[in-house]
Amino acid sequence: MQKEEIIKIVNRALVKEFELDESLLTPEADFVSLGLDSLDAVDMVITLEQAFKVDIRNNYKVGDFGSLGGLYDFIEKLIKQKNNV
Amino acid sequence: MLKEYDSVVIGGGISGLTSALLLAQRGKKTAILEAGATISPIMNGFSRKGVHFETGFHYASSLGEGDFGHYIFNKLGLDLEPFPLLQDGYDEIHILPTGRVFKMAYGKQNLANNLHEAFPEEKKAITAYLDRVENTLSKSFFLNMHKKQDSLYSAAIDSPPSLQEVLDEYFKSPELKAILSVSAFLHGTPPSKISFGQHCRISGSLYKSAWGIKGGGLAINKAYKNSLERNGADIFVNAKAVKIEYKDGKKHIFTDKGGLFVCNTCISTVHPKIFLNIAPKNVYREGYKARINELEETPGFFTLYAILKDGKYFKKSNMFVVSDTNINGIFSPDMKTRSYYINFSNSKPQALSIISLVPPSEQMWDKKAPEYNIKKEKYAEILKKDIASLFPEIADSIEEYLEVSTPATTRRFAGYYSGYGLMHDVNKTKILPITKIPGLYISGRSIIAPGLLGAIITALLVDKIISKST
Repeated sequence: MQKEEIIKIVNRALVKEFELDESLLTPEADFVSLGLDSLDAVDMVITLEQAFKVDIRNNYKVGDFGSLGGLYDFIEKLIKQKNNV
Repeated sequence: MLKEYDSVVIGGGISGLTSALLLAQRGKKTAILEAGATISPIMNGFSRKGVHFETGFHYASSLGEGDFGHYIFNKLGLDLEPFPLLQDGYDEIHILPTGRVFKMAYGKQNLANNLHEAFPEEKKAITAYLDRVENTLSKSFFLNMHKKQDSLYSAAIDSPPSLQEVLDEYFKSPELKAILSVSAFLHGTPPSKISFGQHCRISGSLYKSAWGIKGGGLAINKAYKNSLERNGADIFVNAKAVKIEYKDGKKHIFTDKGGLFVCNTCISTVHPKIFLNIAPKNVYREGYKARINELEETPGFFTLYAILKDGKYFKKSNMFVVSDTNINGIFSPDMKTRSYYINFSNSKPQALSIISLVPPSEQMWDKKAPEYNIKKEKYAEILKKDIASLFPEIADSIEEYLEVSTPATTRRFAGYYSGYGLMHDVNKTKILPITKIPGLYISGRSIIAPGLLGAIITALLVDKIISKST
């Protein structure tokens, strides 16, 4: 999966499921400034796992991503790992 | 009628009672609102012809000294007397297609011995699997909550793999997989959907020890009532919460009888989908509400109750009877691949409960649904015929079949119809105890785990979150 496609799917989920304004979804944007709390974080992780068929919950370590750009990279890494196995 | 409290707990089931007790123990002025006529109605059971039948409690794990349940009963001031069940076979698993009867023993080595003997060709895998169960349990935040601190939110999040994936990774024999997953009956979520971790906590914890409680559900209710009274919590029965409003930082809870309770902290333990109907509109984002509404219900219970002859103590083992080694099949919507649990009481004369699962699609919670009565009679007949043909020694010991209960019965007497609340599907969204409204929490068996200890654990987690935020 190309990075552009990952970005498109993540952003689409954030706009549709978390009612975020698309114009705010830049790679630098961090989750707190986007107005996401711990409840949203859990919901988002499971929503994205379903969208990408990857296991974020068991692979995530604190500090793995703090911004949206970090999240794109993290998902890209998981998809690559999955395809290599 | 306006009443002011520090905390109000909606729902007087085990989870709600535990939450209320924890708040009251911290000196909070606390009220419990229960829609039914008594607290935790499912625990009351019922009596016929002088014999008591349990409807809510059959057995539990973790009640040995040093175990979580033992610790928490003491902490809550619950005066309860656990007693150990039969060590070499508290449950018997009857696999009908092969005729195998397997005795579930507790104590890791006892269980390993029984499994090794039955499946010698998978000995190595059995040992490795039991090690993995033990390791998972020792790392479980919930079962060690009394010993260690951890991130509260990460504790609430279950993660892959599913039980089915782990069983498939370790074992070849469908029978062996059935034996290790039939206890999915105890949480109501099929092996393909429950996480391995959740299954371990609920049924793997029985590998260590299995316990009854003297006096059963009634004793549990009495112990809670006594401790709540001692700690000054107010219990309101026949008080159904119909609306929660959020005004000026306070939660206003309206009851069906015109009562109004105002508080800072409100914990709802009612079914999450009912909570969505009574909570303020902005309790969650719309997408999250939709995901909660998509979560599946666990099956309800269809139970036959009988009394055994002569007061003769007949059987100490409970029985799981499965007609298909694919345990996912016991959650399917017909009685063709039926499986059931037979519980023998420790009373004299002995009470017998034959419990099977009914998926919500059968609509057995609605007496007005088409063919409700036909299905009820048909299912009862199927189970009676099964007992007569498969277990003649039990059939011969039955004095009389006394009652049949369906999910509609549970709904009428206990206010809900699915046996274990919402399914804990590892691939679906999780309901965390927090909401978007400060001081409004959601708890109950659909949040962390069902069952007596599951409900208590959920309440403890919620309490830890509340005490951190206030």
